[in-house]
Amino acid sequence: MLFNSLLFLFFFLIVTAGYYLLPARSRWVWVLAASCYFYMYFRPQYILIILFTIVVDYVAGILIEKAAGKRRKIYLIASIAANVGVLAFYKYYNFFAGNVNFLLGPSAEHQLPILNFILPIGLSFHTFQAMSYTIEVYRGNQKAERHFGFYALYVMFYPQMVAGPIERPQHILPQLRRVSKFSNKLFINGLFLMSIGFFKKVVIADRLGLYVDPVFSHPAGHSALDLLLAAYFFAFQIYCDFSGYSDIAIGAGLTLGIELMRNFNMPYLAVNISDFWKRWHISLSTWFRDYVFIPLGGSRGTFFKVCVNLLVVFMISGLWHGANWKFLIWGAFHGCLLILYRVIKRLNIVPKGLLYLKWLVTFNIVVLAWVFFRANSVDDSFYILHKIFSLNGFFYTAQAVMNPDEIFYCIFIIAAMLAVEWYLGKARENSNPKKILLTLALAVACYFLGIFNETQFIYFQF
Amino acid sequence: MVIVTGAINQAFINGLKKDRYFDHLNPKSAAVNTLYHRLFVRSDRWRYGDLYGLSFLHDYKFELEPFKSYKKTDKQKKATNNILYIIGDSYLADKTLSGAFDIFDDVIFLDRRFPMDAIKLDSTKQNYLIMEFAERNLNDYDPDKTQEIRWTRTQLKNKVNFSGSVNPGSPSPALPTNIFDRINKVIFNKDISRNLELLLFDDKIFTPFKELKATLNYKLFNRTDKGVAVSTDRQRLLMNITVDTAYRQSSFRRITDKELQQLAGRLNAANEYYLSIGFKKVVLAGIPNAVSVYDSNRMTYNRLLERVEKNIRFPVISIFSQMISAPGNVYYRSDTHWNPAGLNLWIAEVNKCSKAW
Repeated sequence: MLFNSLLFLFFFLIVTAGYYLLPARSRWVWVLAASCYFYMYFRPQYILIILFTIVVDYVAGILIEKAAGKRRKIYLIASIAANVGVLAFYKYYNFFAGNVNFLLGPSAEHQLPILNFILPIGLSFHTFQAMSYTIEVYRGNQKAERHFGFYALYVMFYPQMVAGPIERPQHILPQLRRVSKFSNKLFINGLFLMSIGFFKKVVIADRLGLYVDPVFSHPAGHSALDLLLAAYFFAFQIYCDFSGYSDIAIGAGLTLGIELMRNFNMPYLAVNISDFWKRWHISLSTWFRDYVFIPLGGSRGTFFKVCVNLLVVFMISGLWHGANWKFLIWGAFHGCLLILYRVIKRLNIVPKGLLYLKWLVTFNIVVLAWVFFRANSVDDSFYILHKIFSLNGFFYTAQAVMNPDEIFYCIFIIAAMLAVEWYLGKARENSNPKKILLTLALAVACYFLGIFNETQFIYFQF
Repeated sequence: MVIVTGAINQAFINGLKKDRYFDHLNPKSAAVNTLYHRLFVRSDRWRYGDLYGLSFLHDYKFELEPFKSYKKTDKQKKATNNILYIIGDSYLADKTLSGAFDIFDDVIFLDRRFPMDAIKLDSTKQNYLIMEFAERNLNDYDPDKTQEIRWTRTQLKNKVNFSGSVNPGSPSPALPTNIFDRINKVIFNKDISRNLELLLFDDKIFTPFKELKATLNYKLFNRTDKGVAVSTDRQRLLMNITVDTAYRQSSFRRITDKELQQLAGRLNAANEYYLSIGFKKVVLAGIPNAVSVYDSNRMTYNRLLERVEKNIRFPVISIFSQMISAPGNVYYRSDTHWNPAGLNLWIAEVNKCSKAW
């Protein structure tokens, strides 16, 4: 089910009302059933995949806790293998087979079959969340959950199951068990945050998509300026799309009295690439930090080893986004940038101050990297970058896609969003009536300025 | 919950759509005062044209002139022994044409947009067939994809001769056989959002809000609903797929001679098939896209109709040049289709041509 659909509005109202009307001890059943429906609306049979990983990890958690010595590790590895196996099959098999077949050549006698299925929605998100549970139980930071329903709800909590934030068990499981009374403040904060999320999605991201999608689909038909504009617009499209989703998810959680972790912290204000990754998709960055980078050795060891670790983590992170070379290049590019940043820092040649210049450089490098992420193929991304940097035809030719007035409107609304986001973030501390008024104003703006073509959130595909 | 249940019930929604579609065509009746009508039927989606209903652009909100009902008059009761079948689309759907044509005792319309079973031709009469196409639908015509091609000899013999109904011989849509598929289709109905919008926000009290939003987007950004384009002279709305060259239905998409020959070949094959199942004569009638008539200089017009008409081996009823030279409007300005003047012009041309058949 899409957040930006009328069905979700009804779903949300019914689930939230039912949650507070039901006796506290049966609320988990209600939210779990609602979450199942939310997920099954995309493709009902895929619930079996998620159910498989839930059962495996639930059992693994208990076994890990009960076992001692090497057995604990065996159970953990088995659980991770099951999760990664599902992910590998559904997300990476066709990519792998395609590349193997390419290497073998079209005349090879045996070619790996390419399977025809649709990727289960949000697979990477809920698989990573499930894996963090068994790892935390193994590390002794979390007790194994005995209640199957609560564990299933931990993986399937509808606001965040398909596009995060990727939660940790220590943070969510106690909240699911806690009986929360209806809180005016949390509820209004939740609605307020949801309205900000909807605004980002339907007013900004989907409007920018009207320009970005056709231009990136036919880069050869557009000038350097068109492509440059598309690259900048995409940076804000993906930010508003994904952070908008996170805001709606966090807001929907709050209306049920459950606080999800913050996923974005104004990432385009970062003054270096390391700072950017502390502000962008925080739940995934910290997941990779805690479960991949640190186990690989983290910042310990030789400088060279740390750099290799960084590169490995970011390449995996790139592949996490999708089974495509372009995501791998995008991840590797960010890994290289972080290594470069560490080198500069180590050589102590970073000048003090000059924050605006640092911000400008960081922001533009991030935009450049997004080209790899958004282009339809690696070839396209190099073509786009080459065309932009050749400055060949630096005039606007995309009037048929978007007229200049709308371009200026988009620039204005991005600037306004950046300016207002800070204020709206603070507005959570405002009085309830003020927040209600702001929520209503955002809802009206969403209706009149929004694009309602039920465009899927970009991160759903991951 | 009641609303959600209604949205899940596709049969209810389909009935509702039909009631809304016909509401503005019906004379005011007692039904207007029912609670059902008050709650669900009062909509502006069709009242001012399908393109207005998509775009809600206030500047193009025009009342649709009603079509004349061509019922048989006493004068026409003289039997001619000729029956006219029309396999067509929305241009002729829902029209009463039984008395429209001089040389035909009856007119039977078969709507190709919906499933239809085989028909049995009355062998005691002369059966004529008009293949009516909107220009936008002609390009993709393939007789192998039609339902008629699947009529077997036995079906053709056994089926009764339908007459007078809007969609003769249409079978009821089949339900999924598997119980899980049925449940799936109901509970996870992919149209729920659209249905909810139809149930809740399609009443005419919401029209001013929709118009305001549409006007803002149009005046500020020149953006309309993606199904709609505005003509170059800003006088009328056009169906976007007939304008945008990204669509096969566009009047401006380049059509090579090879493509044209293939299309003509498919039409000729259809002609032969219809003759083989008992029609005495088959005629092609292409209805131009409104953009081809009123805005053909917008880009390079592909002149599909004229080119097809020159390349097929059976008779045509051509009204393109007459539509261009017609003094008034022959198409609604806020709807995809022709208006009563356009239909009258076509009927006159059919009558003129049919004298020679």
